[in-house]
Parts: sequence; structure tokens; C-alpha cells
Amino acid sequence: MDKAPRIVIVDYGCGNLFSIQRALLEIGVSSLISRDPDEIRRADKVILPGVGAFGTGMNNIRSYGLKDVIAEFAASGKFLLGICLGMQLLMRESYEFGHYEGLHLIAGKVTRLQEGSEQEQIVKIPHVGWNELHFKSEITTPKSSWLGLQTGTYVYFLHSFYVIPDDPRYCMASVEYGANKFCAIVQKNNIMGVQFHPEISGPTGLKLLKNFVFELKEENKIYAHAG
Amino acid sequence: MKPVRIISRIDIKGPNLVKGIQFDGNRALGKAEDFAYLYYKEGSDELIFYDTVASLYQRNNLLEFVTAVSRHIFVPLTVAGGIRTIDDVQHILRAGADKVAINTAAIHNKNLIAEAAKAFGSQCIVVGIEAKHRDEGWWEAWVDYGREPTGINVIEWAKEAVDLGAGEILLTSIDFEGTGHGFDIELTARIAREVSVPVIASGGAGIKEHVENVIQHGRADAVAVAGMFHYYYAQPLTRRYSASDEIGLRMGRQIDEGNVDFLNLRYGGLFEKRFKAISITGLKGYLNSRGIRCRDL
Repeated sequence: MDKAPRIVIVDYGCGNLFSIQRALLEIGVSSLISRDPDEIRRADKVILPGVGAFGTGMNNIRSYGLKDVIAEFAASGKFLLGICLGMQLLMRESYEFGHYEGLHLIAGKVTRLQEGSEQEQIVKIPHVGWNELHFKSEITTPKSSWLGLQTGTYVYFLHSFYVIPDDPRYCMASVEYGANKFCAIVQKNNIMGVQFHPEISGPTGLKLLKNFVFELKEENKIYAHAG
Repeated sequence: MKPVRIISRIDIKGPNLVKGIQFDGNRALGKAEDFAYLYYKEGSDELIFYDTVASLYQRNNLLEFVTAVSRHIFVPLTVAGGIRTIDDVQHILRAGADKVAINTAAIHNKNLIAEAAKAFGSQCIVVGIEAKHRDEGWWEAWVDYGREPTGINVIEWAKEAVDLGAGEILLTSIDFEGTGHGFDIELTARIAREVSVPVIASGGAGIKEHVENVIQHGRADAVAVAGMFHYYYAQPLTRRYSASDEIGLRMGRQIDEGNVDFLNLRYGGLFEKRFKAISITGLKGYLNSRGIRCRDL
């Protein structure tokens, strides 16, 4: 039998680390919560979690000396999954309470959701709730999925900011929220990010994590030659 | 219309799920843990765990409970009751909760909301507001699980709580809670209009139309349901839910604390009239048929 993949959840002091670890345990995977550069290098796959503010997150990543090691891991071609703030940190820059530089693994920026009303329904910020994903038609078909997710799949969001990749091809799926239509899943080669929380998106979220751990192959590196 | 969340509210005393009327006369319906797992599997969008005896013991008693259930439940979990300090918030979040709801302490020490939002992010700080209608035409905030009036106007308080950093408002009507007469639509609509964050309406659902009304007319972003679900899944005499025997949810079984006689007596028929029990999927199916979107499994 194949050796179990080594999964490292990066601990940079911002996050839903344990809920991700519990979700992985539920699908039969033990994982390591760590900020040790060697552990990150040795990992088969890395999850970059995150809750809270972009500026704090990047400051912590720098002060723990993790910026270079994450970049090194990303360059190795092994799969990296950013969740919520972890997805936003993959971008070049953010405008959350100021202007901050990100990890710049995918060209793009982070900006705030727009308030306002739609059909007399007030659009609340933070965006909290379950929304349907809309995949681009070339990403999923009735017979194929993105890590088990398809158009119409409900996942759980809890955020006030969202990413805009410079190259729209990197946006795999979007969600409509009031007047906002934002990117919910981003992928460039081996770098993936989800704005929602798979660890608290019920059986659907567990399926995504299971596919991330066990099913990803070279051919899943979408748009390897784009941009 | 954006999708709404259907949340199961589980009030807890000791090991049991309890249900009261207007925060009083709590009755044990079964093991809280069993209900939590079942509600997750049945498609509840979130779960709220409310420690009903927290003010009695001056602390939240759900740490072990949350540690246990969060290992196998993968939707957002909110813990309420007796959360007084930043340390309390940290312990509850560490135990596996995704959010905490703060009521009494938030009113006594408003800085707690600001500090907690700063430390953990607004997204995990829910401010619980328990409101009682006053004859003079306003709503007063009460604390300590609906036991103590504060003299504070809930609409002003809701706005202030959001300014301090609350990410959501959990709004419970003391007048309607547990009665099965419906939600306080007017109060919900007022607060939903006034604040920029999501409002969870709680307290009063007796029939599925009440849930529809508080979304359509009360503009609730989410609805917390207790009795309608509890009475569906914990039936003493009938077997509407086939798996209920297997996991021991039937009323009176696996209850080791609390008054259980009423379960077998079916409240003397009182609640049969007011509550039309419904499954989680049944309620969501109804709402979808009425043009209100919610997540299906």
C-alpha cells in the first residue's frame, strides 16, 4: 500500500488549524500543524489556512520566516491549498485596512465586498452563509468535477474580502452575493485557493479535502502554461 | 434572493438537550450529543449550543461537549452562554467552536466585544440579544438566559454591538421563545434594517410558515429553530424517523437527569396543538417551494 501522504497545515498564528485537522482525521488522514520550514519542505501537500486580517497574516508569515519556504514549496510543483485568508494571501496585494503585499504566487489583488441592497434585501457584510458555486463550463461538466465540486454545490462562506486574479482564467468558480460576483476558487498550476471553508462545509467540504489529499495528479494542474 | 441559513438551536443542561417556554420550565428531551450529530447529518446549516445554566455556575460548561462533537460535525458551531472573558472565547474556539455568542458579558463590559473581535476577528463574534417587548412600545434587552432586565433599548444596543465589532446578531424574542406562536417579525425587521451584519432570528417557530414569514417579512438572514425540529426527531410514541431508535433519540431514553414524565405524557397534548413538528429537510423543501433558497445536501 502507498505511504500516506504527508500533509502539513501551516501554523502562522491565524487560524482554523484544528478544524482543518479534525476534518482531515474524519477522512482518515493524520496531518501535522507546523511552522517548521523543514516539515513544510518535506510535505507532499500543504494547506495554508487562515482567519482574520490580511496584514496580520502576512506580518506573521514574515516574522516566522515562512514567506520563502512557502514560495519554495509552491515552486516545487507540489500542491498547495489556501483556505479563506490563506487563499487571499496567495495574491500579490491586498487593500484590507491599508495596502499590503501578499505571497504573490498568483497575480491578483484582494478587495472588499460591496454593501448595498438588492431587491429590497440588504446585502450584509461579512458574507456569512451557504452559496452555490458556479463553475466555468470548461472546468466542470455533468460528468466531471473540480475536486468533487460542481456548479450548484453549496459551500460555506465567512468573509468580507475576496480575490480578483489579474488573469480571469485562474478563477475556476464564482459566487453571486448581492451585487457582488466574486471568485470562490482560484487555481494556477499546483496553487489552489478556496474562499469558502471546506472544513465546515459538511460532507461536500470533506469530499474536497479527500480529493485534495488522495486524488490530485499532474493533469490536475490546470493552465500549466497560461500567463 | 440570497440563500438563508437554517440553524438548529440546542439548549443544554447537563448532558441533555432541554426545551423550555419563554426561557422557563426547561424539560429534557434527550442527549444533546445525539441531537447534534443527527441535526448535522440531516442537513442543518449550522448548530448553536446554548448553555442554559451558565449564569448559575458563572461560566460556560460546554467545553468538553464541544471538544467531543466538533470531531465529527463539519458545519459551523456557535457556543452561547456564560462567555465572559477573552480567555473564555479562546478556550471555546480552541475546543472546536467556530463562533461564540456573547450576551450578558457584552452588555456589562462592552469592551469585550471590541477586544474579542480584534483578537479573533468579527466573523467569530456573535452578539446574543434577548429582547422583551415593553408596553410603552419598545424592546428591552434582558440578560442571564432571559432572567434579568437591563433597561437597554435593543435596537440601540444592536447598532452599538455592530460598531464594536460584532459579526452577527443572534436575536431571541423572550415573549415568543418556545411558545410556537411565531417570531417577533416587527422586532426582527427593525434590527435587520438597522444593522449591516447578518441577523439570526430565534425563538417562536411553531409551524413552517413562521419561518417563511420571518425571512420574507422579518428579513432574517438566518433562522434558528428548536422545538419544531426537537419534537419531530424525539417522538415518544410514533416512529416518524426510522433511524431514531438506533441512535437512541426517542424521548425518555438515555436521559439521566431532568424531568422526563412530560415526555411520555406528551405535554398533556398542549404542544401537539401549537407545534407542527417538521424535519430539517422538510422545512428546507418547503422554503425552497416558496422561493426561499437554502442549501440542499
